[in-house]
Amino acid sequence: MDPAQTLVNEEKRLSSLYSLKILDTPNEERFDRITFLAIRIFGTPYAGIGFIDKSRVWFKSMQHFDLKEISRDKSFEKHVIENGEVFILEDAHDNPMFQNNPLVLGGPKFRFYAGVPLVMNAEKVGVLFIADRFPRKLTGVESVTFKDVSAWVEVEMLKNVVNYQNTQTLTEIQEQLTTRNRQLEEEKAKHDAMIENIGEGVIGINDKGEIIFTNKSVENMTGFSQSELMGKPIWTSLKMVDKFDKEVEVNETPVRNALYLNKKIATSDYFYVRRDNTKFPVAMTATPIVVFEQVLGGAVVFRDITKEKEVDRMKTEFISLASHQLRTPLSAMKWFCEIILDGDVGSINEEQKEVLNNIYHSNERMISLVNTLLNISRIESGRLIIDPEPTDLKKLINEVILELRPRLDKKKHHLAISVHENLPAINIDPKLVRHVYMNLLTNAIKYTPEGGEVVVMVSRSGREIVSQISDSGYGIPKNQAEQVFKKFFRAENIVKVETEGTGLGLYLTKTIVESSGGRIWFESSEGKGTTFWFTLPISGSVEKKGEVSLDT
Amino acid sequence: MNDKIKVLVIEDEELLLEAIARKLSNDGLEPITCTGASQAFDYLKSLPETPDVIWLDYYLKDTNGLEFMKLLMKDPRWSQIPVVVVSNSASEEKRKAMLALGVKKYLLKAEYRLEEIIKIIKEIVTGKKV
Repeated sequence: MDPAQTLVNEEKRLSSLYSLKILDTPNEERFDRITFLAIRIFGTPYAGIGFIDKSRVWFKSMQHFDLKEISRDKSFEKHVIENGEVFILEDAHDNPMFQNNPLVLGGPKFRFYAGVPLVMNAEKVGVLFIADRFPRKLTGVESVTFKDVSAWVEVEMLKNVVNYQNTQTLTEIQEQLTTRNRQLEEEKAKHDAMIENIGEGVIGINDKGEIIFTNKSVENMTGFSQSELMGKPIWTSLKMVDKFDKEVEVNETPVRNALYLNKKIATSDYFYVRRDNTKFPVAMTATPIVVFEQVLGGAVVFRDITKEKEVDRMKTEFISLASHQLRTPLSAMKWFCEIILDGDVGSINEEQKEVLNNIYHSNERMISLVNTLLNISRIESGRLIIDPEPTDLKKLINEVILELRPRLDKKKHHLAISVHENLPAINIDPKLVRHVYMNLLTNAIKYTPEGGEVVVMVSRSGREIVSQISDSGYGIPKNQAEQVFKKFFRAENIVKVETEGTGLGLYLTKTIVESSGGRIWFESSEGKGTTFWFTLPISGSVEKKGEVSLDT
Repeated sequence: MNDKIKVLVIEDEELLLEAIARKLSNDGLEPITCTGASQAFDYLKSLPETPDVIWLDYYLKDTNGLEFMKLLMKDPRWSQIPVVVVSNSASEEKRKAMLALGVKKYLLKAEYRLEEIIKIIKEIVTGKKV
């Protein structure tokens, strides 16, 4: 046989043996019972069960002779597994291979030996043997019985494997569970530490709205300790008021809405009332906790925004201050220029007039810049009033055009207007939307060379009214298309043609359109013209009770 | 006695007041200038004739437009004088409150040329387009 193959086979055999986990284990009655039975059946003094390890034979059971193991080379068992079937040595004295075996010469002084291989996973891993001090034979029946007894041993061996595997699996599962448990505990400890120590207040509630968790920040901010809040309904234990000091109705609280509408609610409109009855503004998110499509509860995360509100107030104050302080000198310059230009303080020559006109127009630009900046601050403050009223867009557009007529005529542009005949009055804030038309049309006029074409089209498309403002002007360079709505952006090609411009118009326009519930986009081809579209929902804009309006 | 339109101008910025007065005079109107509400009421009490119109800035050193209007409306001698507010700021709230108190026009200072404001004033006083 190929020695390499032999080696491979031996490895497989050993691995089958080792899978039994039987070597060097204590005696067991279930095996001893079999060897005991064997000596009774076959009338031999000796019987045993040995397993053939790499270089030894280890005996699991042995009757009437005390031997734990023997070198594999000197063993009879080596011959049994090499032989294959039942191996019978009737008289060792007759056989030169065994005549000098230590077990024949001394010890039990074997003369008869019969062994049958014990098979596990098709590998001969061990031997059941019977032996005697006298030579003898095995009858056919005895031979068959001997094999039957070995089958019993194999059954016991199998139990070993099954038992071992069971214990093994159990142990493994237990180990995995322990590890996982520890990981979970570690994670939980980490999360707990984080939640406990973050600046935000965190409140967990169950599906009934009862508080099941609060962190340290909740106590720091509200003055209520965890033990005071636990188990109580969040709506009654943490009082919430609006800016008019009116308590927020249960079915209007963000938490309740998050649970019942099954969606995340974020708001900065309310105040929490502390234990000492003082209040503080909060920015909060209320999130439903959903498992398998069922709302199990919710989490409320909030923070004290007193400082933000203060900064906001300061910003507003600054705006009003700036508007007042900047506009006073601007008005003075405007009016004194006007007085000189009108000749009210003596006549001026053409050259002087030209220079003064330059001053006057620069001042006008400054006024318009201040206005735009103020408008942007107002919009960005989120406090802009949106006051929708049924508006006739056609009328609105005509008013805007009337105002722009001098500029249109000056540049000899041709204007075409097409407004859908049966356009319903739409519920929008006319002051805001007027800005949009004004800005888009001003741009169209401004950024189109003399004698151009400006088109205004208003149509209805599904649930929206779409306004289109096209021109045959300079267009927007393709590589700058993405920046068009950005603050202070002016396209390369028009900066050279029209030096005046703040780069704020389209930013403001987009913001207004979006706060009115619409969308805005454009298409442009450099040198050919630009078309802007914006939509307004037929359902109208949503009213907003703000504090500031544009152009004031 | 003359038939010039008498304009009581209340504006706390001296420079603006000067510009307004100059332009009013040059346009053939008669400005009576004051820098605060108390001065304005002193004039109203002492002048032989009530002015035809009041040019009022909203923010004044001693009060604001709202308080001024309330005081003005209290006295039947003056409550009929038309008032035009020419202010630096015109929030919707203020504008509405002032118009509710009888103010004829609420104008944003930097948006108008003096000429335009004078035209508006003339229209209000004469009751017809100029």
